[in-house]
Amino acid sequence: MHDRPSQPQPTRRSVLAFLALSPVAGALAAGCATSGGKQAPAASPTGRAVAGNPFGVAAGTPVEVVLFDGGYGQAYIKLPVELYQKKHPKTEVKQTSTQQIQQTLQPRFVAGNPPDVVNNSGSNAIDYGALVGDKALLSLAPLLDAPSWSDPAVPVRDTLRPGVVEVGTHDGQFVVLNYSYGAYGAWYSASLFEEKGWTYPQTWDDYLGLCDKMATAGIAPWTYPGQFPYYMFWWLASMIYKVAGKEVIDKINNFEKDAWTDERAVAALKAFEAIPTNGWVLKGSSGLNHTDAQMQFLQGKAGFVPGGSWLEKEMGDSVPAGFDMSICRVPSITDADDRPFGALCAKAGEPYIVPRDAANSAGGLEFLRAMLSNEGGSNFIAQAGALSSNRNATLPADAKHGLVSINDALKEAGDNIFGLTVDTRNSRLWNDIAKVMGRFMNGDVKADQLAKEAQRLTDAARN
Amino acid sequence: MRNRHQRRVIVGFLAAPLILYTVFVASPYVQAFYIAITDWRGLSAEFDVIGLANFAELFGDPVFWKALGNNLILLITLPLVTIGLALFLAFMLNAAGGPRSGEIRGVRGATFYRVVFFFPYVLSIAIIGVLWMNIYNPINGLLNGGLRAIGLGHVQPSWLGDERLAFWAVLAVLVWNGVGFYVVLFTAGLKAIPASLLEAAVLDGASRSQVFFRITVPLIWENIRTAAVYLGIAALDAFAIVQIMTGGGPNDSTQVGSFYLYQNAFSYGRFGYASAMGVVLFVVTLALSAFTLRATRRERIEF
Repeated sequence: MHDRPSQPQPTRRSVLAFLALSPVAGALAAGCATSGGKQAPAASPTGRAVAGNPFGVAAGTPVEVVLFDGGYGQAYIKLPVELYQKKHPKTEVKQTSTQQIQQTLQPRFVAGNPPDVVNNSGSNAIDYGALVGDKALLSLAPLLDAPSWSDPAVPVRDTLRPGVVEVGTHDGQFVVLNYSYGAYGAWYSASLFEEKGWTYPQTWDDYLGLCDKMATAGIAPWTYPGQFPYYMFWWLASMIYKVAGKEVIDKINNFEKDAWTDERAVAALKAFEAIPTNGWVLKGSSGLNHTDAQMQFLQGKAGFVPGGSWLEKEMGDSVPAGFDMSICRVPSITDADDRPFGALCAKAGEPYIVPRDAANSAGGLEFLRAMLSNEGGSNFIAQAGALSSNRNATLPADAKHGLVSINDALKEAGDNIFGLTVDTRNSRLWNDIAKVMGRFMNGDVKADQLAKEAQRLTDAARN
Repeated sequence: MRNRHQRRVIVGFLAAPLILYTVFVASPYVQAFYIAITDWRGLSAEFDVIGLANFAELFGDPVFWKALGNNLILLITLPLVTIGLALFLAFMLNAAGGPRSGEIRGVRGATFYRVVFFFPYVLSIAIIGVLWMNIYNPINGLLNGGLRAIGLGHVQPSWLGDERLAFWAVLAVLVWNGVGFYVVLFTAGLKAIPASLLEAAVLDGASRSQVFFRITVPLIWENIRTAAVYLGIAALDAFAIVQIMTGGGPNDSTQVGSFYLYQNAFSYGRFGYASAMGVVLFVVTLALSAFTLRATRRERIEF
């Protein structure tokens, strides 16, 4: 509102003039964005639901898909478009892409004519709390029960990886389909470990011993992007999950009491506290952004860097040949950890939604079904370099080391998988807790203070 | 008859800008006042009027106060440092040269320096932000590299990552960005001062600093005042640099009102709350500008 540099400084006189104008302006304002009630959503033009066409898509009705133009590129969407058009000939699929989802689409949501499928992703995504609060999303439950594209005998639900439905459920309704699937936490270089004769530690004591060896070898054990401290969220939560299990993670996700301050959660954070306390964080990390921090890691200046599945693709050619990037698993911290070694933070990402007011919502659901086909999923893995939330999708033969390591880690983890939903449920709380994590990494804040502050913020968000 | 024709012309010319102004400037302001008393999330046309709850929350929001405090520090430091530096440089470039053949002139190479100082102002703010982010990079940055080169390898501040430094690092960029423009502005003012006045002062035995404070500054007071108002606006804004360089971090140490407002509206989906913030900032801006104009009013010196 006040960020236009050329705005003239109002004087007393101009304010009086401005106040004199306001009745006129008020009348004009009534015609603008905040006026009027909600129009009834336009009825979706549907044909009859028949076998092979579970949502009753009307032939010839165009579908509009807006893609997020981000790290996964746009190439992967071509195949689902083809699949859709093959099944529904003479139907136009209008596919556009933008990095500014929120800025581009918000006016269309307000005006009641959103696209049929939106890839609401990236840093300019529309806040999910707002979307859910405004009931702007169509329930995707029919999609789960529909026969899957590749094998009509199996419903879509049974082709999904664990947690996809849970993560996409808001206020009891499945409204967000997350199309990619990834692991989160931290990375290490398997080839560096091999070169130095280190083995990946199974217990936290060994882990600290390894960090000590790294420091002696002139490698800072950890680096992190201080400008985006939320990168630490997944690894710290993974440690909490390892010690305290699903119960505490659920409490964190649901903004409950005694979540962060649960004594097992505090114990996990306390274990990590040794890293900043011993000065095992690369000096200057607090001033780095994510690519800077990842470059330090790739150049062998740091042993571990927080991040997720996207990192390998994001860094592209900067990853040295034979670096053998591998996802970290949390070592056993106490004798009585709730979860076994291999427990992993994994979650479906890359959210797709069908707006409630979409003109062709049946077409939107059908398009998502095409995306979730085995071909669609395998195509996504090949094109985007990330796993698909379709569990039957296959890796290409030339898959990169990091991707293969995630696939293996997911197999090893089995059902010991958790996801975080704080970011999608309350982006402000996520940011606020992340700020404290940044201070934790700086050594300005200790583990018990981090727990207390995160709990205070969580309590405030609940009330 | 003529009178009516004249009026028609006047109305004709005024109507278009007035309507544009009303629709695109005044009406959003009024709308913001209304949205400020709602819980609008920015997505649907449905929302509830919640009275002054947004304002109540705002007054208890420590981040908002932190942001406002930063704006106020900027409001004092940015004009002070920028104008001080610009005045000094303008004086050096125009009136501080040696008294060769009795003529008032700048230091050697003044034309070159003028271009150099103005250069940052020509760059887009986004480029400046990215440029300085790299200069401030604690590991690969120019600044810490320079420190290492002169043997200060143990002093490697994390410029934008340290809560105690980040704000001042951002302020330095704002000053660097702005100073060239004000050098040019003050140069124009200095050029307008009759040489005879300065020469008379020098002949009467005034030192350089006396010439500066007793003659130059009073005679270009109007320019300084203009500069103060413009820098005041920049200080209350500072959105672009903060968004590009720090995102308000670390730990809100570089948070400013405009960026926090933006975060609430566009990242957290709280347009009602953000509008309430806009209203408060509007009032603060208004009060401050009225104060500035009154406080800097002086007799105009004719020459």
